[in-house]
Amino acid sequence: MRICGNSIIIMLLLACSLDVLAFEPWNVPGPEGGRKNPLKADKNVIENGRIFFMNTCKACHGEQGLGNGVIKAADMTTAKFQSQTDGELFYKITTGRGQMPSFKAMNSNDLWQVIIFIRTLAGGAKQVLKKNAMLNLIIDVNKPEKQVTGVVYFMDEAGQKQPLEKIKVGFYVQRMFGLLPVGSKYTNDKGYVRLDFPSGIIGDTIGNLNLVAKLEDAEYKSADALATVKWGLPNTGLKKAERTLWATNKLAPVWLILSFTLTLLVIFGVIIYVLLQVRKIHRLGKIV
Amino acid sequence: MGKINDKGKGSSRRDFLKSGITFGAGAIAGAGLVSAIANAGGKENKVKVLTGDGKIAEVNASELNMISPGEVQEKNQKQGRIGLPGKKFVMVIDLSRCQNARKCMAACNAAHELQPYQHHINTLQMQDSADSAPYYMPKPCFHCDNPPCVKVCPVDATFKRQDGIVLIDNERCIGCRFCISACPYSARMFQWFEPEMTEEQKNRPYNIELNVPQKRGTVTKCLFSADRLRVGKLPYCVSSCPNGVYYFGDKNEDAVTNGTTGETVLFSELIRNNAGYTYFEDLGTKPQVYYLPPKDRRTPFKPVEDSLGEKI
Amino acid sequence: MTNEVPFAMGEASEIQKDLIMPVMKVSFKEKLWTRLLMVIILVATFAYIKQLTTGLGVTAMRDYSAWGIYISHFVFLVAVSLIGALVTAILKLLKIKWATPLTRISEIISVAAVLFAAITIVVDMGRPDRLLYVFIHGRIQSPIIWDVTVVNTYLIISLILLYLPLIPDIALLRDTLTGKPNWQRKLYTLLAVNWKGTAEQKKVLNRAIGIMLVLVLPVAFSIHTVTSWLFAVNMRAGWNSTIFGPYFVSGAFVVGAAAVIVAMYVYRKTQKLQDYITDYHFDMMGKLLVLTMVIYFYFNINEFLVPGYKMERLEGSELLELFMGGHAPVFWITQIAGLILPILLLVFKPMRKPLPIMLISLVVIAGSWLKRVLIVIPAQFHPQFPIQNVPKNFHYYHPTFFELAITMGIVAGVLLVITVFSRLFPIILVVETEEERHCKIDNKATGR
Repeated sequence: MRICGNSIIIMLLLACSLDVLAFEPWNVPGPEGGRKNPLKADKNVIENGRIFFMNTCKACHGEQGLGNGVIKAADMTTAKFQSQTDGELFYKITTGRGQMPSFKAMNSNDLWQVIIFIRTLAGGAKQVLKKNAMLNLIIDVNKPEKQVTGVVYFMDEAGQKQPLEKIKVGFYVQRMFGLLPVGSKYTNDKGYVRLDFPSGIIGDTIGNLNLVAKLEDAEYKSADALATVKWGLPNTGLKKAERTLWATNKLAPVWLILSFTLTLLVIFGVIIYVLLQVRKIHRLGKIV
Repeated sequence: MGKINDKGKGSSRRDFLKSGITFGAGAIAGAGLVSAIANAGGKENKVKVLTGDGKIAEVNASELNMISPGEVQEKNQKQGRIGLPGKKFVMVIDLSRCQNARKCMAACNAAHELQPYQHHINTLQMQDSADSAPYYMPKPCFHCDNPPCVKVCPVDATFKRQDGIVLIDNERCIGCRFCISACPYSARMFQWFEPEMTEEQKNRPYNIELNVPQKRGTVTKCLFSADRLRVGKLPYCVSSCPNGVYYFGDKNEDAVTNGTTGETVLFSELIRNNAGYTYFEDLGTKPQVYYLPPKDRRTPFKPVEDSLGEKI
Repeated sequence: MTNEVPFAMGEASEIQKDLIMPVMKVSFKEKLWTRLLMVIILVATFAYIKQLTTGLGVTAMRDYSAWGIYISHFVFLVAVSLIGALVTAILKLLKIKWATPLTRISEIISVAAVLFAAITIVVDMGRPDRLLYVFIHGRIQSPIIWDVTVVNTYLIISLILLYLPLIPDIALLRDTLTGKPNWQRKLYTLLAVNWKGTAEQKKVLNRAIGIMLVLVLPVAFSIHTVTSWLFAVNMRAGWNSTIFGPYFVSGAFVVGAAAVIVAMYVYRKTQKLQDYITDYHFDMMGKLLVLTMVIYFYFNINEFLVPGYKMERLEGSELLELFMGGHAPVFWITQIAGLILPILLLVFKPMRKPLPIMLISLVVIAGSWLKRVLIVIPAQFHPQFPIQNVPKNFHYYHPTFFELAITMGIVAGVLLVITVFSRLFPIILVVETEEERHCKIDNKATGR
């Protein structure tokens, strides 16, 4: 580990010769470092920044920015990291160095948003104390419409359910390796959120789907709700094995089996006939 | 080589072990099953077992029934040839994101115990013609739907399962290398020498879905990490990529999941929106590994020496 | 004729004595020759043991040249084996009489070559211990299974075709060679199947031979066609060709004819058969060789000019390497010295005298062997994707001592089988030659 000059990036280097560069201080030209973030921090910006972070940065920097992803990367939660200006971060994100790629090609708005999100990582995840909330799903299976309703609320001191407004609920269906988003909505003043389930999603062999709803909010702990619904298209993937050239021997094409066996039968039939002739010669010799 | 004695009413720990060990049998190869190391010093005779998700757990030896490596192997062979019913695995590789990190190659080589020069997945530096843009291209086996390699195998050693995966059975392969000649994509390798491993490693039951232990005189190839898929996990290469290059999923569900971000998207939409394609469609092999074009690459292409110091 | 050897002379004719003589007596040179072959086979055996214990890695084969000279040698041997069908079946069915003394030479070459072709494939296998899997788990969609089937069928048919015309000769040996060891006399008695030379026996025998002559033709063509499919079914530049079947078959006739000419020369010298294998035979075989080579040349033009005109991506790079790249010297040697020059030379009658034609045939054989290396190896180095991230020696193929030694051992094996055969049986059909000559004399006598 080594502290790199005034850019204060802590980097744990992999045994990678390409990264010799990273030992050098990473200087940001004055005017670049002085650039101001055009965006103001609000719920939406942070949420968009979070999505961008999860898609683009999480792999190396880890879910909480601790630098513990697939490779060792900068820990974003340290005071030294956070002491950089937005301009400096923007410069480094767009320039890239060593294992840190350049994100010049990305939309700069996205980058300013992610910088705002990175600020929320300061001090690590410990400091974030999220509040409890509940998410329930209501599905009327008798209705022909494919509609799912979610209710988001919290329990007050008196033990009463209090609806939560403007809370984002994401809806997903379970796939083999992850959750496929099918839509997200914000709750209304009664804490309700309603989604018209899209058609064309493939379910199991009879069209059953596992629906997952997630409460996604910066203030509240995430909460999941699950339901199985028969809203999908039936999965017709299970096919009967066919006779092909690439199938196993048991499923060889009929024409091949027939022509192969017939040819062999004819040839060996003739051979056996000829060998019988030899026996005949032998017999004829005895008679003489 | 542990199997839980099912007779006793299962405690929760027993259940955990049961599932863990069954997974181990199918999935983590011999390594899974494992070295049941008897700890002679302990009073209760504890045994260490490696569970399916790679954790080491300590249990009483009395809770384990030993089954022979032969039985484990037989089970592996049987389920390995059947595959996962109703699935149809597909991979999408986003060339615009590949930065030649080669974490996929490293993870793959470690899992399949390959030599440094053997690549089930190989990151190539490509340039289609003199004036076209160069790019990095990870190349696994394409698990073709009309596989030329499977067609030519004389002994059913390599086969295509119903879930689309083309596997190789090292207990069957006679080493004729016809499949290597037949594969237009150079996806197959041969064990020219005895793979380096200890006697103990060599005696592990063979896991057809991991192709470990590797055997001299047989062919080896990318398996789409069939052992991981059996336990619902993404392949080794896919989950080790730092750059979000790989999507993997079940085509029958029309969904693929990015191994880096965990994001799941519709396969058909991903291909449609990004002009996804397969390589050398004119050969009629119907590859099941799709590529997204190397457009808007995030990092510039830097020609580097290849992994064995060869100048390209 | 010397009388050193015990010979039930009484009724033996001059022809019989001439032709059976070599079976009687083993010369010193022949003994030396046999020993030499055995030494080569021994060296090859050691090399093979090394290959078995270390793995196929002792050869120069690697992932981008998964097939090496074992396979090209296999193709070569299959090619040589085709000559039995040409000289025995085609010429005999066409009632071309001059070929009679050559039929047994070609048949034994066929049998030996196809036998060792099968052995070569086993040598090339990564897991020869699993050889039986081919029969237990055989998968009929695979051209290898077709090849195994057809190679074995051809071996059986060739053996029968070698044996049937031998019956009268074996009977003769049984009756005349009284001084041979017991096992050998028993062998003759067993194989002679009570042959008494009666009219009825002759009728049955001729009928059996006739059937086999017809049967051997499709099988012989299949053996080489199926062998060509081992390559042509692969989507690789250089192999992806629709004319591979006839291309291989025509090439096979070239090398087979050349092999017979060399064998004729050797037998004529060592067994003093000048009266039976005459200059006329060399002349005719020379013409036959030219014919086969012209046909092969025609297929070569098709095989190289047409793709060379198009210069597709991979096909083009493969052809450029053959025409002008690293393989160019060998390629032009095989085409010019191995094909064009021999055609031009053999057009002239003096070149079809025994010694010159034998030397030319040796060059043709060497060229044919190299040609098969060029068919098998360069095509593998032009895959769809670039060859990267592999060690240097994956980028080329230079055969190692081990595989060369094993290949030499296989060649020695073929020659040993032929040598041993000619020690046990006359290499010229005794009875048939005799009858044909009597016919001629009779014809002259009766003025027909």
